[in-house]
Amino acid sequence: MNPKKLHGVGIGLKAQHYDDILRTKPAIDWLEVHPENYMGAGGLPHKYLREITETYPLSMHGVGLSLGSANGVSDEHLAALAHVVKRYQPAQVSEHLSWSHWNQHFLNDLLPLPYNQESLAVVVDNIHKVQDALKQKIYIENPSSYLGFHQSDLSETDFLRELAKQTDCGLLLDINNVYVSVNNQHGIQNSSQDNTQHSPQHQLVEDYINDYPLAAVGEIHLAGHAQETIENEIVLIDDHGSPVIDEVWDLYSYTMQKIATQTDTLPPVLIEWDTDIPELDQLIEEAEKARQLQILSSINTNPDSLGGAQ
Amino acid sequence: MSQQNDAENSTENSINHATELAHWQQGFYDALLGELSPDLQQSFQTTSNKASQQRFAIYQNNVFYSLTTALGDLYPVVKKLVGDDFFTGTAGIYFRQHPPQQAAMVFLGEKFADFLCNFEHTKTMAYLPDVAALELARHRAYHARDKTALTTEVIALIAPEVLAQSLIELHPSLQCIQSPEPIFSIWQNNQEETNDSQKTVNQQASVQLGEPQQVLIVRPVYSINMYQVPDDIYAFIQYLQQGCTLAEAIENTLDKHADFDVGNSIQFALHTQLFSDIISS
Repeated sequence: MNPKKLHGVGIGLKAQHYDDILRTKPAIDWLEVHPENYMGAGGLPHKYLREITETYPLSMHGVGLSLGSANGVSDEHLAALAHVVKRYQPAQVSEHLSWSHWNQHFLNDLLPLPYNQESLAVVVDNIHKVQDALKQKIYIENPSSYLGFHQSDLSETDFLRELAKQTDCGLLLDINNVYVSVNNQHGIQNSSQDNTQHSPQHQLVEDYINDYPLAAVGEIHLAGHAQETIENEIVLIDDHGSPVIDEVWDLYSYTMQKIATQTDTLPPVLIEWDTDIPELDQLIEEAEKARQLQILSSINTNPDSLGGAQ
Repeated sequence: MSQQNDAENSTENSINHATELAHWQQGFYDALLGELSPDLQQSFQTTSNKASQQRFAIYQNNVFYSLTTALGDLYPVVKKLVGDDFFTGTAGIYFRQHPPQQAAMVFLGEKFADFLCNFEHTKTMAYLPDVAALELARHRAYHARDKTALTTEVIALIAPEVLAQSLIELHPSLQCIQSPEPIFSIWQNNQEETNDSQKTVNQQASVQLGEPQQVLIVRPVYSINMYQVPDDIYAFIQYLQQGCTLAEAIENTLDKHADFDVGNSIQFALHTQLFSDIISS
């Protein structure tokens, strides 16, 4: 069906870059789109996507399925997704561990979910329904979050591990989201005397990766974030509007090295940039950096074999 | 044990059983569009009430910011006419009354013109709802199904008596908008000027409020074309759209507009690529 498997490093495809990509055919391994942007019947978006997918493998990264909705996935939206997936046959389809759909309304955001047995059963059912409709495995992304909930009694990593186990879904590990969520969560738990000088929690973010079911990872995301000060706490905002920060690059290297000890094939990596979108060149530079670190992880871990990074 | 089986065997059952989550999501949804309730706030793990409110506000801001941005991209002229701050306020009220019913932004904001009709704060701008309708029509044309338009050469091959009794399929992107206000001129006068010469042209277009205008919008290939047309051509296209044969559409138009120029009008329609097929009866 689809011979174009994802490998190496891709970037998010933005309408601003359609012409540049077709003209310069840059050395990017693959491109990712939100399928929701291609749910119109025809016109320019489809013309560009058709032409671009003649050259590049494609991944579809949904934002509208609302896998966490207790009242289920919208049949209408699932049918629209199935249609666009059939039309372009992307190498991979992914979605978020979040919700946005309630009582026939869509709030266009990735809203947070408490993690417990009840929400787990809901997400498991919804993933089953989507995988059955699309007749393929989907990859589930860990969210960036600003709030935790008292009714959570499972860790996010345990929740994701259970999803993969119960539905055979793949996982999409967003390294920036790990950094954002763990630091935001830590800021919440921090004692009030010590939080004027916020220092990123290296150990806690590494712990998340150590506890994460890396064997199920089929895609890695990297992006930039912003920060705001709220009640003397620094809150990291996942706005995808700036370069990846050094601490996130470090966490990426750490993760890739861990994955490289477990497998020969490193997962494909994506650079996301969705607000204040820069020139295509800057995205390609970020992708190049991700590629260098990907190769380096593979060499450091396994000096005799460069297989995974080629 | 039996609960476990329910969850595995039936999607409907386990989702119906997720009553706590459903109750909490209803509260979260209501709070996003309204105000944070003490009940919901109690579920948040934060250090203070204020931190809870402000962290919740991040989600609230994200929702309204992304929806308002998407609405502004769809209605740039309305946004320009009312100003950025007013537009943001209006969008907030609009989305609280009409939360999006689909996840794809392609279908966002379809009730905005209707909403503006009844929006007290823009009552003095009588043309505003129809300008919004014009922008929505452009958006629909942009995303419409692709189809090759009929050429004069194809039409020429059909015997005139057959053609007269045929139905004309209009191009899937064709949108017809009429207004008691000069919406075409208003739209034109509010385009970003790309260079000085165009600016001069734009400044020359004068707007007489209260002047009715009819507009046809079509995207034969990839660029959207807009035409301000006289009453008779607009009526002719409407008859075709309603399913009249070519002969009936001509006759009906002539009944209302005695000086309707049939030849020129058909030529105009072919030249602007309004037709996409001929269905012979």
